[in-house]
Amino acid sequence: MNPNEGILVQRARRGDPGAFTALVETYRERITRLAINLLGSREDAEDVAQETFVRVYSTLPRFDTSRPFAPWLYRIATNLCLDHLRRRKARPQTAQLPEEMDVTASSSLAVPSPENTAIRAETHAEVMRAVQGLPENYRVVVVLRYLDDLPYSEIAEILGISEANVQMRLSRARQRLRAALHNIQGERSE
Amino acid sequence: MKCELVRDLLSAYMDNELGADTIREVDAHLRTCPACSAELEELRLQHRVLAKALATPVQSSPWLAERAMAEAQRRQTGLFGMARGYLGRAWLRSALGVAAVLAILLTVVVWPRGVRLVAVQGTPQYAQAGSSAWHNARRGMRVTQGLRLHTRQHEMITVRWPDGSQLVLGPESQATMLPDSSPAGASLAAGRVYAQIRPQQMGFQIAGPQATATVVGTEFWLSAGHGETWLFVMRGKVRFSNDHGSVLVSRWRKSFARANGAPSPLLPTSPLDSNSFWWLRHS
Repeated sequence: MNPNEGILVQRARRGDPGAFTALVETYRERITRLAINLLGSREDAEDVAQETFVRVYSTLPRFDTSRPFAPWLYRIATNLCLDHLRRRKARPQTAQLPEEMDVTASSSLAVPSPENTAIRAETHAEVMRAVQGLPENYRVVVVLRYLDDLPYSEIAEILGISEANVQMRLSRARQRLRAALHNIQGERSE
Repeated sequence: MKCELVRDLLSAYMDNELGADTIREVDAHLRTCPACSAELEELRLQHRVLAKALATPVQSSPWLAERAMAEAQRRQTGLFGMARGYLGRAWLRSALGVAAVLAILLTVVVWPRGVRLVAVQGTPQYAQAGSSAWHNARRGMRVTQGLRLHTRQHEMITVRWPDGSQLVLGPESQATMLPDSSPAGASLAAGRVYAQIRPQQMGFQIAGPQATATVVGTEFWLSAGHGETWLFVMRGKVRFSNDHGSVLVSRWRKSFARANGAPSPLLPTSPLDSNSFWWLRHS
């Protein structure tokens, strides 16, 4: 945690709304992206992002400031996403299959930039669909890894699993994605 | 090292997550094994495709902090929040404590019926309909039809409906509350109001001097001053209309109206708009 962030967390814990707002501003894009990439739905992702910060606001007074803030925040958001996926599964009549999911959610929300335009929207949607097709325990590791280039140790801490487990899940997830992404990779390498 | 083992390690090798000894062994294997080297190349290509898709920034709500704080405070002041807060304390394990909780619960169950002022910051004023006598507004007081509210600098009032819908009247604002009108709502003479409306309250209206906002969705704020009424929508859709015309403003869009013209076509909101909303951060 950088020193400024530590100060912001301390001030937000004491109920300073400006400090809390600054923390949200720092992380709101990453939390929304984490949720979109895990849930495949923009609407659901925005609900989870808001709920994440509601929980953060309510539980900050009990947060141990000797620990880094970001993994704690990511753990709250990830658990809320996983809860959401479980509830979605428990309602089979409304459950979304990967191919029906709003896989263009993040591409339609993407901030326009020269880099973004390098990936065509349909290619982006194909990648998102492939990721959504992964089993949950693999998908969550892939999404966290690409969230902020998170190291395995941090992913392990967020998910409460061992680093070896992260390594294994990521390796298998990438093997599974190979077939799904093979065509895209072919196109991009031409 | 055998190919099978190396292939299991390539993902972590690419991520630079292996120990120095293992890296040396994988390096040695790759120098002599074209198949595993090709596998690594393919993995790196895949990595670039994934990184582009999953690390591309997305748009996120510029009002997330305000919404989260408002929602957390709404829960804390609600029945559940109060009960949980009190039950968490050790002294309540005594019989006296339990009795106190019951009394609080009974009060809270009865108390929120009707529209109330649930939070008051500073000493804002109220006047009953038809009266010119102004008094200090108190937390908990009931909002009656035609009640006028007036906030000065740094003052705020939160009004809550029984279903959880709430209006936050910002500093230097004047509004008339219309809880018994159909649809229910308020009339804003000047200043700003932030509205978080539950789906049950569809049709809820807030009238500004130059146009009226009617709720089709759930969350917006209305600002009036300098001859213009502005509407910013955060969630759902809001009908914005006056005698000259009407527009349906969707999420993350804004519109403004002047006295002699229809509301403007939809304009995109920007994160800077939330600066006009600073007062809610201090609720």
